[in-house]
Parts: sequence; structure tokens; C-alpha cells
Amino acid sequence: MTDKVGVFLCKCSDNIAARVDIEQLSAELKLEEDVAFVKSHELLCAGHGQEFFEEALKNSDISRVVVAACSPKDHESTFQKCMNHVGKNKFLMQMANIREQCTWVTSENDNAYAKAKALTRAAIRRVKLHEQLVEKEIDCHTEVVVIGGGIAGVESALLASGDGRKVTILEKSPSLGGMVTKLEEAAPNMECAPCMVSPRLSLIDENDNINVITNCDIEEIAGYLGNFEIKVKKRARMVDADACIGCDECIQACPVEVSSAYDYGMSSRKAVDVLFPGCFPNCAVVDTSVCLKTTGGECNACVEACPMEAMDFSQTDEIEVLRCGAVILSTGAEQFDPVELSQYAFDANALENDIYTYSQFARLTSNHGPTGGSVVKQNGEAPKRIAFVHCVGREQLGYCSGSCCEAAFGLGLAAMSGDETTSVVHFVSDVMCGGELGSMLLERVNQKNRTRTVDSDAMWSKVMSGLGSGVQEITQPSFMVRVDNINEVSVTTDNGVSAVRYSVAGKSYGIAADMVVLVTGTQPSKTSTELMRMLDLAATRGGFAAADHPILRPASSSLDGVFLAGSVMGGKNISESIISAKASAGGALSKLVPGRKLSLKSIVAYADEELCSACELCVQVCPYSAAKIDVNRNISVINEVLCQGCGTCVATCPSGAVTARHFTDAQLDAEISEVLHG
Amino acid sequence: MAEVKLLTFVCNWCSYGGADQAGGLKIEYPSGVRLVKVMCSGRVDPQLILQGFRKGADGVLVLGCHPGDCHYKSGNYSAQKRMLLLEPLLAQFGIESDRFQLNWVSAGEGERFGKVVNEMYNKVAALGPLKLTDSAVKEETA
Repeated sequence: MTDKVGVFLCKCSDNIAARVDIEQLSAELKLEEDVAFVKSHELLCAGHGQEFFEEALKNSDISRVVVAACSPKDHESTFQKCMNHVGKNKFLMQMANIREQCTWVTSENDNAYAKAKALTRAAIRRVKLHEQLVEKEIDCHTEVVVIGGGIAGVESALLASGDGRKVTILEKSPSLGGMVTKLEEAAPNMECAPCMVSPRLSLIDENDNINVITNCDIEEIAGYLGNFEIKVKKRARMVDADACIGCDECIQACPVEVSSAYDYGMSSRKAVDVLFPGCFPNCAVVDTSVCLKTTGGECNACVEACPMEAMDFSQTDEIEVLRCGAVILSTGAEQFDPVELSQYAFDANALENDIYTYSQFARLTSNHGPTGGSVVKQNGEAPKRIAFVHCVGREQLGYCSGSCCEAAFGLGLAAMSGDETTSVVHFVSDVMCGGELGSMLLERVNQKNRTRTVDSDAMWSKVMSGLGSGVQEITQPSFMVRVDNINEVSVTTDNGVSAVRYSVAGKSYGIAADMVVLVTGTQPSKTSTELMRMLDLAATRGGFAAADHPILRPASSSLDGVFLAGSVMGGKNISESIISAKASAGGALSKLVPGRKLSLKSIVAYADEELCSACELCVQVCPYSAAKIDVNRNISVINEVLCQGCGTCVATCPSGAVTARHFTDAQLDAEISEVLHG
Repeated sequence: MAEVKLLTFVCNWCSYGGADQAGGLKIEYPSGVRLVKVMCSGRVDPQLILQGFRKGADGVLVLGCHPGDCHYKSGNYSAQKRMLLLEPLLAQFGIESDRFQLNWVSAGEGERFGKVVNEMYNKVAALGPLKLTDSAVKEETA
């Protein structure tokens, strides 16, 4: 085996040959000590050119090759494949770009010749120092774990399990389904939400490849593509999930009533309960923080009532460790809490005064909500006018959540399906409700509102007079008022009627409303934030999980192998959530194929144990969290699965301990010296 | 103007593509502009730049992806921080500040690539060939 280099010069028809005398260059390069042969061809990338290339190398003892031709962006992979065909290592081939960087941009032929020679000689010197890199493959887990069982998690699990792959869904609450289960009709097309969700949950139930763990918390999560480990705490349910048939007998018998968080405090639930009717798994769960039996009291009501002997108070929290190749994070988001802002009168008496957040209001439209689906005031009467104040918290959050307008218009429409005298006014600044379906929704709200006439009785007049001058009484309301500054809209309340103050075109107005709905923005959930911290995921300015690339890789997180689905990335409507869920599942499926190993990149960095002093500078600059300090050995270890080969750590290392494969200091030094020569 | 060499580091994703596009558009620039590819501008160690000056570069240009567009997310920011530290050091070696520049060129900016290298080349050419004093070279290599 010779260490000399075989050189191929491509004429690229006349693209190169017209400016550079290939015969002369060939003759000159042949004289170089390191060169075994120089062969030129009319068009090396063409089929006959590739045959020529392979023929020259086949059965030869040449292992290192330079191709002086076009840009490697065009044909590096072509000649790398040729190298493979003839049993040579593809990393021992280097291209000199003498077309884009030389003949196409240089005016004088003499100059082009000199530059082509320098570039080719630099490639020869460089390839002499190339290493025979190996394309490594490692074993990997192909199972997928979906964290968060809302609609995004459910849809990604269904798709990811489609080819028989094992998927586990981890859900904090006792049931799958998430926020969509709280709605009755889903905007923009006002489709029945439970009718959409229930069949999807049934599919999960029927799917033997999907394992569901509800009522659990994630204690630890770490790893990288192909190899994650998740420690899950399964909270004791105190109910045998296999025995329970969801018959409600225990719920009826339970003497403890507490405020329902699912209904945002607008109803009560029992200490043993189901999250909502038709939940999945359809199994009761004991809230051990309020149950008499688990808080030291004496009660056995549920145990006695259960016809299935399913109550099991011997249960304790269990830890389970899961291993998987990819994680889909679909832990959702939370709503901004308007209690922080005094301008909306959203205080302890807010409910009493019929001031709601739109999440609360959504429960009033739900058939299994606190009012059985009737939009009525706390006193049971139908509202005459409902004022929706949009963009609550937008200024504090610093961004438009993007999905609340549509949901609020949908709720406004749902609110008018009951009493014929109810009208709805939306106070908005920018309306984010686009597309065909969004536009149709706006038309429907407007049309419905036009049929209403506002009753101006004494109650309204009283509120109006209380507001003082500049108060407008709307008798035929437009359904939407575009205000000057949405952040200055305020709500005051008196005797069950609220007044909303706003200004339009510099003039102040106010109207009376007997129900006020605060359309709150979306903020990162605590669960999402905690998981992002554990996985060291990059966050957006608002604190949501950031996409690896907002346009090109919108469902990939900053850590390879962790995908993002739904509003963990920021406010999303249902269809957007499902699109991202399916994109996530697709990402996991295509990266990890059962029976196949995981191919690793060859051009990665590695740290030398002897030279490394564990100063952590590489850890700080690595954009992929690939560099980590091994505390036992007190050195930096660069994870070759996570490393993307940028080489930033190499330039940062003060001890010269890190090397970038294929871009070593020696290789670059050799190239720099020669490229400047001549 | 004198014939000079402008060593230009280009990253694999943005500026190399910009140079290719300049080629495709046949945008002329002096043959003294010589490119060396790295995966990311973040790989450009100040040592490589000093090596360039020592081996005959009269000017060095580092071209990365535009801020916010780095293929490796933040490599170009690392490059920027590092280059800020390098600049005062160059003066100590008697290398004028106009002989070095960090700039951004995307893969779709062939014209910008031509403009940036031509302007930089002209600046360096106006200064003429770099004369590193022996002591400066020795000091650096010591």
C-alpha cells in the first residue's frame, strides 16, 4: 500500500479546461513527490467519468485520492460512493473546488492556473493527513415514550405505534385526553370535542402496543437519541385498575367534597372520583390528600360501596424505570393567571360577579361541566350580554399566544346557542383567527349577534350612569370592538353587572355586561419547564420548548431524540397540535427502525483524556449538550451520538485536548500553508 | 495595487454555499482570495488565523452564517466572541486591524460573498503584503 496520492483532474467540459491548461497542470503535479498519478477526464461526474475513476483505482494500491473538479456540494457524495465501490475509505478522498472557486470567478487565465494548482496541492497535502474514519453503528432502543397524554400525546402515540412499535404514554393526571376534554364544541368549525376525543381514547385502549401510565410523575429523565432512561413515580391510586369498572358507587358513597380543579373551582368533587365521565382509563382514583381514610380519619364508605372489591388502600407509590429511543414531549401549557392584574376585577369575588377566565367559561358550555352545559350566571339566569376581553396577559407575557382568539370566538358562538337574548361583544386589538375556517367562524359569530337586540332596562341604566360621562350604550352591538389599546381595557363591577371601559379613536367608552370573560394568554406549564430543565432543552424567549429550527425542524427539540408535540412549544389550536404530534411521531419512527442500528456521524469531536483538565469550557460552548464532564474520571467526554461535528469545542479548548475528526489542526494547517502558496 | 493573499475561512453550511453561488453567478474576485472550509466558523481557532498570517496570508477573513442562522445554532456567536479577543492581539504582532475581518454570508448570498471578499481584498491590497518581523514570528511560535 503506497502513501502516495492519486489525483484526478476534471475538465468539466470547458468549464475548467477553458481557463486552466489541464495538460500542463497534470504534467506539473506528476512531478510532486506525494503524487502517484494524475489522470484527467472530460467530465468525471458523468457515468463514463465515474467508471474511469473506479477503473483507475480498482486493484490499485492507491488509498488516498484528490479530485480537482467542481464544488463538493455538487459531487463529493458521487466520488465518495465511487471510493466505496472500489473498496476504499471514502474519507481518504478530498476535493479541490477549481470551478466555483477558480475558473468561474477569475478573470486572467494565468491567475486561474496558479490558483487551481494551489488548491489542488493543498488538497494533496491535506488528504495525506486524513484518517480512515469508520462509520460507526450502535445498538439503540426503538421504543417511544410520550410524556403528556393530551390530544397531542394521544395522536403521536397512535401514529408511532402504527407499525407495531412499543409506545408508553405517561400522564400526570388520572386520565388521558387533556384540555380538549374540557370543551364541548371545538373551534374553528365547532365540532363536538368529546365526539372527536372518545374514539381516539378507545383506539389507545384497544392497542396492545401502547402502554398507558396515568397518575404518575417523572422523577428523572436523561439520555440521547436511541438511549433514554426515565424514572417514573406511579402514584398510588388506591383502586385496583383491573377490577374497577367505573360504576360510580364509591363516588356516591364518599362523604368528602372538595373543590374541583378540573372545573377551576366552579364545582365540587369527591375524595374518590373520576376526572370526567368517560375518562380513560375509566377507573376511580383516591385523592389521598383529602380522603378521610388516608388522612388518619375513620371512613370505609367507598370500600363498603364498591361492588367489585376494587378499593385497595394497601397500594403505595411505585417507581418504574423505562428505557426508550425517543421521547415525545407533549406536556402542554398553562393559562396566564389574571389575578396578577387588578384592572380586570379578577379577585376572590370574581366568580360571584360573573367574571371568568375563558378556560372557566369553556366549562360552562360543557355538558359535563358545572352547569350541565347551560351558559348561565351564578344566579342561574341567562346572561344578556357577555363581554370577552382579549389579550389578557399579552403585555406581561411579551408575546401573542396565537390560539386564544379562535377559541374565544368559538366560545362566544357556543354562548349564543342557548338564550335568544344573549349577545356577545369581543374587545380585541389584533385578531388572530385566519384561514378559511377561522374566517367562517368570525362570520358566524357576527351573523348570530345581528339577530339579537339588547334590552336596555333599568339595570343597565344604573350601570351606565355609574360610569359617568363618555359612556356608550350599545343597542345593536357589533360583535367585535377594535380598541385603541387592549392593555388599557378595564373591568369594574357593581351589583352583578360589570362595566368594561375602553377607548376607540382616542375617545373613552364603556359598556355594561352581566358576564365578563377574560381571554388569557398561554404560558409554559410547570411540568414542561421542569422536564426541559432535566433534559437541558433550549427554551424560547417566553420559556416554551424551542424547536431545533423554527422553520425547518419545528417538531424537533434542541436535543436529538426529543420531539415536541402540541402547546409545549407555545399556544396551539387542536389541529396545529395534532400536526406537530404527527410530525414528532414521524421523526421518532424514521430515526429509530427496529432491527437496525443507529448510524453515527463520522465527523465528530473527541477529547484526549491525558490533555483534558475538565475545565468545562467545551461543555459551555457545545450547542448540543454533547460534551459532559465524567465526574469519576474528571475529564470531558464528548457523546458521539449527540455531537454534530461543528468543532466549536476544539477552538475553545485551552489545552488542545479536543480534536475534530476530518478537521484536525494538522489537516487545516497543511491546507492553509499550501493554499497560500503560489 | 500589490498582489496579496486573502485567506478566507468559510463554513460548510452558509458561506461555502455563498462562495459556490458567487461562482455560479460568475462574480469575479481576485485569485489571491483563497478559501479554506471548516464545518462551522466556531471551529476557527485564533491559532489557525495566526498560522495563516505566518504562512503567507496578507489578510484573513472569517465568514460564518448570519447571527441567528448558524447551522449549529450558536457556533458563529462563539466565533464572534473569540475574534473580539483576537483583534487586540493582532496589533501586538504588528498586524494592522484592517487585515482581519469576521463577516456573515448566507448560502443564498453569492453577490454579497463577492462584495465582501472584493472589499476586504482591496483593503488588504491597499496595505500591501504583510511583513511579519522575524521576532514577531519567533515570539508567536516559541
